[in-house]
Amino acid sequence: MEKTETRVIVFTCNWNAYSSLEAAGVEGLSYPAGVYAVKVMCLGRLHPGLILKAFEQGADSVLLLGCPPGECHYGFGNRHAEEVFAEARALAHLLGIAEERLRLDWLDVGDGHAFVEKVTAFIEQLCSFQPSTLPPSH
Amino acid sequence: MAREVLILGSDAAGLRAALDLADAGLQVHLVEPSPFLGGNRKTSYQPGLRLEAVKHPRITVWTNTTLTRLAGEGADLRAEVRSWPRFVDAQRCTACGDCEEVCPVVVPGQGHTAIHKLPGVSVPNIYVIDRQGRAPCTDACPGGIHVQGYVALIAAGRYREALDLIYEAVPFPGILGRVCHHPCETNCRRAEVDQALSIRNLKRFVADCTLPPFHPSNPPPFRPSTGKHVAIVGSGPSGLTVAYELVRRGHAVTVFEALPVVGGMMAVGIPAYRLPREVIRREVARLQEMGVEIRCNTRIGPDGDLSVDDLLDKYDAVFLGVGAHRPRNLVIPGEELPGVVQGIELLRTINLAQQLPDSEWPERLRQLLPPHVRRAAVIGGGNTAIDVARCLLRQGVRDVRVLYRRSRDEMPAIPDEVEDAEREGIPIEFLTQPIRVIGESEQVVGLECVRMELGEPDESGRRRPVPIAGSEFIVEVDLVVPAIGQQPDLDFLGEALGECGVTRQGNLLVDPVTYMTGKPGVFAAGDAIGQPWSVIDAIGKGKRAARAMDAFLRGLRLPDELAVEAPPMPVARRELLPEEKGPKPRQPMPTISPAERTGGYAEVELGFDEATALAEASRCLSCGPCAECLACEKVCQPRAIDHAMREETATLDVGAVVLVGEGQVTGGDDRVYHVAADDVVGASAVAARVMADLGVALEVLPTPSATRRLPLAIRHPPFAIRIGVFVCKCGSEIADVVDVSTVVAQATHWPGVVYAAPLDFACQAEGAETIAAAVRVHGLDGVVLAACSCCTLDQVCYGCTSQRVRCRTHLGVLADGGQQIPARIELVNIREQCAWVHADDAARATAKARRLIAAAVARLREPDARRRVVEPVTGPVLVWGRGQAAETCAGLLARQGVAVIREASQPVEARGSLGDYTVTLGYNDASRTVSAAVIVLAPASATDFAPWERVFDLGGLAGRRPGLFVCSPEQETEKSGAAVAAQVMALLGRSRRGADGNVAQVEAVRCRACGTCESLCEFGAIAVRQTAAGGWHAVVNAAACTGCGTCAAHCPSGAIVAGYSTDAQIEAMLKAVLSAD
Repeated sequence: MEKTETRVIVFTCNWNAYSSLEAAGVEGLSYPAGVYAVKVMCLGRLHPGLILKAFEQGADSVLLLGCPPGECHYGFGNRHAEEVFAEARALAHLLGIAEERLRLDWLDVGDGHAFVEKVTAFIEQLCSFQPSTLPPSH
Repeated sequence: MAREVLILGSDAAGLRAALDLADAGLQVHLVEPSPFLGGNRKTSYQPGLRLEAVKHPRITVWTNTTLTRLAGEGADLRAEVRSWPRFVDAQRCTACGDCEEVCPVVVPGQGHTAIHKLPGVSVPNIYVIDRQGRAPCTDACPGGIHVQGYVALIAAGRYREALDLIYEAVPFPGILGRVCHHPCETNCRRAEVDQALSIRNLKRFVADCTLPPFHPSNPPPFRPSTGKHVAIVGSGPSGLTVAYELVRRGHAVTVFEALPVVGGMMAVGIPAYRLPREVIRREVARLQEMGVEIRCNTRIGPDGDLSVDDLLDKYDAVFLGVGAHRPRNLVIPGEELPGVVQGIELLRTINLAQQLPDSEWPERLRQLLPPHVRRAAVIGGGNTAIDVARCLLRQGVRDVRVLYRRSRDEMPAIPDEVEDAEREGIPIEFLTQPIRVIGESEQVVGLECVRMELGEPDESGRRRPVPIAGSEFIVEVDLVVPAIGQQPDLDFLGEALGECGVTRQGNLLVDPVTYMTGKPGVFAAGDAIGQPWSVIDAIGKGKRAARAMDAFLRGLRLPDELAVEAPPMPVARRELLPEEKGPKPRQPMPTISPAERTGGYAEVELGFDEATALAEASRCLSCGPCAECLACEKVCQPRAIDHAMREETATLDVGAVVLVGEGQVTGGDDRVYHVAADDVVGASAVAARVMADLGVALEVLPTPSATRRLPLAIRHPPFAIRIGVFVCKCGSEIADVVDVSTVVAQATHWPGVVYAAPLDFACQAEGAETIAAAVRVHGLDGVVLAACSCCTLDQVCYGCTSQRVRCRTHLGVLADGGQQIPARIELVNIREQCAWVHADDAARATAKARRLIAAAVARLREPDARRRVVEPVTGPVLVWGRGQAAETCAGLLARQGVAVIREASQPVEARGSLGDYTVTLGYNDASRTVSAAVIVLAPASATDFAPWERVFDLGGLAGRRPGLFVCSPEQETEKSGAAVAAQVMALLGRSRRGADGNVAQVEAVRCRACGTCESLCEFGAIAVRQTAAGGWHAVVNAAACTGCGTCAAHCPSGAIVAGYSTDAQIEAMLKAVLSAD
């Protein structure tokens, strides 16, 4: 599979994270076009299988963006997201995926600049890593 | 009994009260005096709630609206409200901001442009024009020129646009820029500060400065040819204006001119030093290029080339713009002497002799003005008198004076012209009336005059001059030139004159609206129908006549079928700010020296240079403040600007009025409720009292979705589903970056996609109509709409906008009705996620848009998780506590027919969620179990509350747990109890609306009843229950489920789908966005 750009899957929750992604758009900020947001209502909706699926499909890296601790729109979702993230990272490690390729972070409401900063920094630190060792599924 | 409530003010408290009342079942009118909810007042309240108010089916939002009257008594109130227009169609504006970029006006004291919106996402996210009325200058212009508009455009250095704007109204910017008597300047408010703007000279500046090339950038719009042909008699300003207007409306026009030159009084009345012939020539040439045919030396009349009846035979309509070329006589002895020459005749002869040196006109001039004439008296105070006096000076008459029977203040001539004449050495003798021309051997030798004094005002409002007995005196002159007025020469009409009709003053009689004479098909305007005589008035009347003629030519019956014109806006009279009152003196017009002037007919005024024009234009106070330059209208791609909007009033029958914040309401008595602007708890309390006082029982919102399941893809095998892809261009917001046509072309090759098309604006009604039609025609089961909206849920998130709500409303995906499209709909945001963030890399933005759309298509091919579940919440409300809060809450709920259980014993155990709470309470030594749909806790203190924290394991979720309310012990108890009562009513009303499409669903056959979900969900919305058949599986309380999807993520058997997407859908999307191509 020949790839022309780094592709990053950003799982965003529907609230703080997605609003920051949108704010970046409204403010006309620029970030690498290889960033693909997949929105879920809450990061609590994710399980390790979905996160690893992204790597399996060829994502160079996966970023989980949600609400700050204690500020989850649903109260408890991001607590579970932290557990799921830890599990997923352990599994990724077993599969030989560098742990820097998976990150969990949070954003304030409507902070477009922080969104751009976070995705850009995440992509920049990736440049030193090898592409996915997982074979493509097809 | 009215079920409607009027809320005045949309601050936090107003929004809260509106939402509580509306959720509980009342109709709410939310009235906000500013164009935006909450105005520009600082508030920490979530903007999302404002959008909820806009979206709520029971809330009518009235922005720019004030209460003007409140009448009636008890709960039968009549409220009259008045709404000032936005001038922007809320159903079409996409908030793209193109208008703001071109608006030349900065609103004084505000710092924003005249068309504006609040920074960020305002609610509604719709632009508004700050247009308080017509600018006084614009209002004064008989020709309908948007005066403040072109002044503002000049100030912005946009000369071409300024000229285009003038051309939209009139065909003669260069002529008017020189000779107009400028009523605009007379009305200019700058005169309150220092002097009026030099508006006429600004017009001349733009008319001249675009040379060469002369033609404005935008040719006037033409309508298709109608095949009708009109004859116009007279090529003066009225006739040529009618020609201009009719040619633009698609009619052929032929102008007949008796004289050898075109322009009527402009060419033979106004002297060349005021209006160079070249200016007339080039503006007439433009008309000819537009298709106006002009035939000079063609006299109409019984002894001319054609009669009016001949014209009526050959043409579809006739316009008589013959002007007023017959002079009024002095009616004094000696007037018949050859040395008495009418001013108008002298002017005509001088002008023609200049323009046609090889004709008979120079000789005629020598006869009228023989070389021996040294001294001349011109009689009159109008422009003709001044013009002829100054011409005589230029013809070599040494001693020219003007005699006027009133004083300077009453002179109808343009004051600047009078001053110029005096500067050139022409004395004006006021209060002087000639009574006899003295002749000797057929030669004028003198003029006997009498001095006058001013008496009582006459019918014209001016003071009537009265002769002073014994004041007679003689002026020695060789030439007497009366210039005391003209009237039309209507002899050319012959027998037709009677049919047309004549006024007492000898003018043509026309209908005041249609400008048609008594002879059908024959219209007239300009000087021929009477005063006032000015170029701009002739143009103004010509325009109105042309409008009626167009209707006549299109076969409409006059006057009944003539479209009624929008009433003019009132004149804006805003208060001037202190910083606007600093003096900025009027720029003087440079002129040639008096010595240079009298030597010939060179133009006296030299015109403004660019720096002078800019300085002068920047003196404008922006009275409108909108200048009506129409620049916004020209750039608005969604065609949302509507300058024809007018103020509207409405009468509302309401049962109560809630006044938010400061202010007073007259009337309404005890049905007017007050709440502080930021007191949201107080707002809920007021809402509860309004509900109780109106005595309305809870009413459930209509639930069209109760009988309607969202269509599922399961009914088709995966590849048989027929999908349509629609890509919004958002005007050019998306299309400028994303190559929409390529994406559309590629989409048609994807599996399942049978149709793909671009849309101009997905958020407009036309967009939804296009989609609905395609669904019908192509039998689509699924639709992917790539625009700016993100989801089809019935919710408003942080970044949501009026446009997205509008889009979803048109598509009918919101819970509360609207248009229903029988297909599953997926929305993708390619504006904020592609076009606006990757504008520097169109290729990658396009590729990304394509993948995001492909992901939505992939999602659609998977079975859907979404389903609307409508489960009414019924059952009693448990109000726990002994204090005043509990008392108030229970009392208010009971007044509305809600079953209330009062308890105050210690809780032992509690479980369940909204709709099915079960609580065990310690009851002396025994215990007792209570079931309730909703629990209201009104503890007296934090200690009192502690056992509830324990039994519910609330962990800080007390405010989030559906159906569990706490009256804070720190709050004023009565207010707190009432506020919670309103929230309970609101919840009961809202909950029955049904959960949104992301609610969890359990596939019973796969559920192992392990209880993982139950232990995870802190809302208590999912629990393992025994079924009627005796088995066990998880059951979802749809009213309590918030759709976060955590249960689905952790279900070991995959029996739960929740949170908008199934695992399969997320995986399909990942695959699509990560695909190689």
